[in-house]
Amino acid sequence: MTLADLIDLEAQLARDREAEPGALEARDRSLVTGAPAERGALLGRWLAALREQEPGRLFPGRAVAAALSGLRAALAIVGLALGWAAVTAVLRYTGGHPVNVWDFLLAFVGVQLLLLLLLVASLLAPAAAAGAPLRALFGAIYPHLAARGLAGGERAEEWRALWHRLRARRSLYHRAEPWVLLGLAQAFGVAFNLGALLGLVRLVVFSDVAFSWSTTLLELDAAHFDALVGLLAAPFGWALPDAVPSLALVEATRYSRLEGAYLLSGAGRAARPELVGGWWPFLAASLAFYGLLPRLLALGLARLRVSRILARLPLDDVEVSRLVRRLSEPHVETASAEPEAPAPPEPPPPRPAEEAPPGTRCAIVLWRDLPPGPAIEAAVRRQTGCEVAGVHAAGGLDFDEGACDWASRLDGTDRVAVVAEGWEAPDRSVLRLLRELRSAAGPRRHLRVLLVDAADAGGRPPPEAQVRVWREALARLEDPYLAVEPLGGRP
Amino acid sequence: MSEVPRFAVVGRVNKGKSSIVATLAEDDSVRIDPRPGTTTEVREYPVRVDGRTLFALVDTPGFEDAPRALAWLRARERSAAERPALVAELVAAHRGTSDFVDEQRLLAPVLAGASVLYVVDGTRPFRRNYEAEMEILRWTGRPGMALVNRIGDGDHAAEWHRALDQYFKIVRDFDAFSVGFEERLRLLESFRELRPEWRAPIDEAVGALVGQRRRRRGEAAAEIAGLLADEVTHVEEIAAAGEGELDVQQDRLERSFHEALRKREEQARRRVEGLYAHREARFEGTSLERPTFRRDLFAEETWKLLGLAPGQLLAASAAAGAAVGGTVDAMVGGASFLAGTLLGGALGGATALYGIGRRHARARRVRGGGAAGLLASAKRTWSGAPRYRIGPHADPNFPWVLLDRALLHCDAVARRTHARRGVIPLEGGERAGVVSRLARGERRELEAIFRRLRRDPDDPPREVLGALERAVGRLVERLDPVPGEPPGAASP
Repeated sequence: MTLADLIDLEAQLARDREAEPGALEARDRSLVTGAPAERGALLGRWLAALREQEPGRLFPGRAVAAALSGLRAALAIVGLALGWAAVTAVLRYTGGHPVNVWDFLLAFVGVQLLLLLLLVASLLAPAAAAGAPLRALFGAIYPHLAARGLAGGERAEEWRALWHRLRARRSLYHRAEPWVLLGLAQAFGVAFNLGALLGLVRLVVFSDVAFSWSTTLLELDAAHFDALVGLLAAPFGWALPDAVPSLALVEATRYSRLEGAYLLSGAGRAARPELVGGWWPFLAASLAFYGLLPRLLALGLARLRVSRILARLPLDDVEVSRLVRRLSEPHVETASAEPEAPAPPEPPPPRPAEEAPPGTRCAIVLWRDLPPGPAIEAAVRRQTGCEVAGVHAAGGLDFDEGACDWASRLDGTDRVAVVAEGWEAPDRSVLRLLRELRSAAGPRRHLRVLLVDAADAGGRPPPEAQVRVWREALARLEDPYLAVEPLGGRP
Repeated sequence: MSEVPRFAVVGRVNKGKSSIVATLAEDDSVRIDPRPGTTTEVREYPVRVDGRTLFALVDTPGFEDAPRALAWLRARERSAAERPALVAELVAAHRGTSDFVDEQRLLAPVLAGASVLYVVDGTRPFRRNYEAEMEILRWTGRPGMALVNRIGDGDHAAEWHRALDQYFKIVRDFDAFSVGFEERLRLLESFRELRPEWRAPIDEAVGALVGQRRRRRGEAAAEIAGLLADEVTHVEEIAAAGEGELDVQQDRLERSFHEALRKREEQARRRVEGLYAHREARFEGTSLERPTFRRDLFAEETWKLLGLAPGQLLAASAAAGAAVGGTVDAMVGGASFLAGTLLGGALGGATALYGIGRRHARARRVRGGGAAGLLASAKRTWSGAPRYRIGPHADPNFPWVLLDRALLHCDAVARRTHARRGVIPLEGGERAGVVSRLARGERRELEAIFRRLRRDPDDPPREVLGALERAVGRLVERLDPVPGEPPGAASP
């Protein structure tokens, strides 16, 4: 994972928070196919595919990475200029007093060593504290930057949301933060030292610089000063023997401002050019060793740490874990792709049955293997007020529809009662039966469909919903002499 | 794969074929209607894993004229070996006519190679005419399984089993309206017995469905955790020229605050329903909602029924405070003689006591020290007007009531089959919720999380959000277990 990937990951997770999980599952699984990979690689592939698929979306990772690179470059340019200027100022020699070696060592070695110590101390301090002041400052100005820098309100809002999200989730990545800041600072440091070194070389090559050293302290004689510079030169002296000042050089370049001359040469006497300019290899090596080298090492370390921390991020928080599951587990769809056919239209309501005059005879037709018995007959008699002229079966397993002559079966009856169980559906075959009965009975003979719930238990009226279903279904016949009623519970 | 296994769901009209398909395919767009003839066309429900169809369910119109169709077949019967061809002849002979329309449609996928899932209603008595359907299906020569569904209240399953056992290799009870996820899987697994060569795709589909269920659960937990985090940290702020204007604005601000909380809860519910593929907004108001759901989030009755009892709240708050104090004690190596624990516990309890019973949040002027105070002062100086803030909601029971409502809703959604269209009754009990039955340790953990959320409402730390999601995840796992997981010890 790179820093850009990480920021893009957070931005995408924030966006996906509002999206439909089913849609995300379908999208993500199609983006990343193939063998399951390690988490970081899997997420990297997913982000790359997303960037390709939705190029119009905000993927701030690259912008942030580019901003960091720009900042690093700006710091490097400023560092180069400052280093060049600083060395030019410190080594300024107009032919009057020679340049004091002390000034150079203090400015370019002493201060650098002090900063190095502070850096080490900051690394030993709690890592979270390292970037706290910068973070606080950035947090204060970021919303205004986001609002003013981006004219598009929606984009600005996205950037603001990203900031809040990164703040909330920084404990995931906080270990990388100080190293990113350290890398920036060290880029400046390297450039500063490089600028100073280049400036020093320029002064040495293109001008003559006379060096000296001086002190008010009587105890600090040439031998002591030689020991001090010998100590400073020790780490690199073995490789660069010319960069170790000799005792002769030290003695020869002790300077007296009172006399305005090198002490050994005496007042008014000219200094030896091969000696007074002899300090520069030592100074250049000191600058390279105590200034440039630690900065380079710190820069390398910072970059290494950032990349290692990012590569080793556990990426195991709940949100990322859910995403990884989404990416690595199969996507299941079970719903039909075809739309449901439109529902049939509602038929008009049927008319209620008319009362039968005394002496009316009716035929009973038991539908679909409904068990016959005196209970059913009695219930029909009570309900219709008719005498039962005959009981017939229809729609059952043994019913031979082709051989059934309804006209003769209904002969001598005034009405027909079809008894059916309400939970049976009023399907095509019952409609056909009713049409046949109508045909056999003539257009004005009353047909009644009587619905029963549990025929085995003696004929209980069925629930109203079943009666409604039958009424609606039989209304399709548009028969004004057909009625549907619950048996034993006439409405 | 050369051949995709197909299972034709067949049976008499209105015996629950579409309900079974809706439940197995988790598709609430399937029309389920007591009127006959609502399924007029054959409709396929493929089970796709990563775009590959592993098997398909085929919903069919019901048998409407089976005895007559059987009579037609018997009149032409020559030998048992020719029965499948004769069934195909029945379909071919009546193609384009109005005779045996539904039989033609339902037999077509069976004749094309689909296995048979024959559905009956075990709550109605067995009648002989059903033998005609079974006989026709037997004549097709396709492997079949019978499913005894439950639509009504009666119980005739035993007589159905006696009849079905004679015609089908496998007979299963399957209540499409109340069946759980595990039973659905068991039914799918039994499909393997119909054709051994279909074992691999069905096993793969079952594995993928289990994975999908786990993901749904995780997403539901994330949704509920997100809801809690958003609502517990929700803050609204206005600038008012003075106390007088605040009086005018206060009501508007308070209404806007509570309305925002209600809307967020609604949004989370719709998303949880969407997660479990209840896509249609048919739950609104009636079917899904238990009476407690229909009540407003801030209704007095809701707060009586849900959330924690005052004693539980005090205990949880005191325990959470004590845990913070205990950390201080530990840091000083016990030199504080447990003063931190005691003080933390007392403070936690006192805070809970202070907040209990404040169902509605009140707007307050922004003041105080610290960075927030300085920022407020800077804003006031900039805008020239004092600022007033409402939220986060102070009642310690608020997140518990919210969590309770969310868990009850999630439970109802997860248990609800896609065939169901009725009303779910309210469970009994003094407190209808889930959280009052949680273990003490769980309550303490959640209370500590709620406190931390309130402390940092602007940018709640990720660890706290993660801990909340994990804690809610454990509760959702218990509500919606998947096969192979140990049952929750303290099922809420």
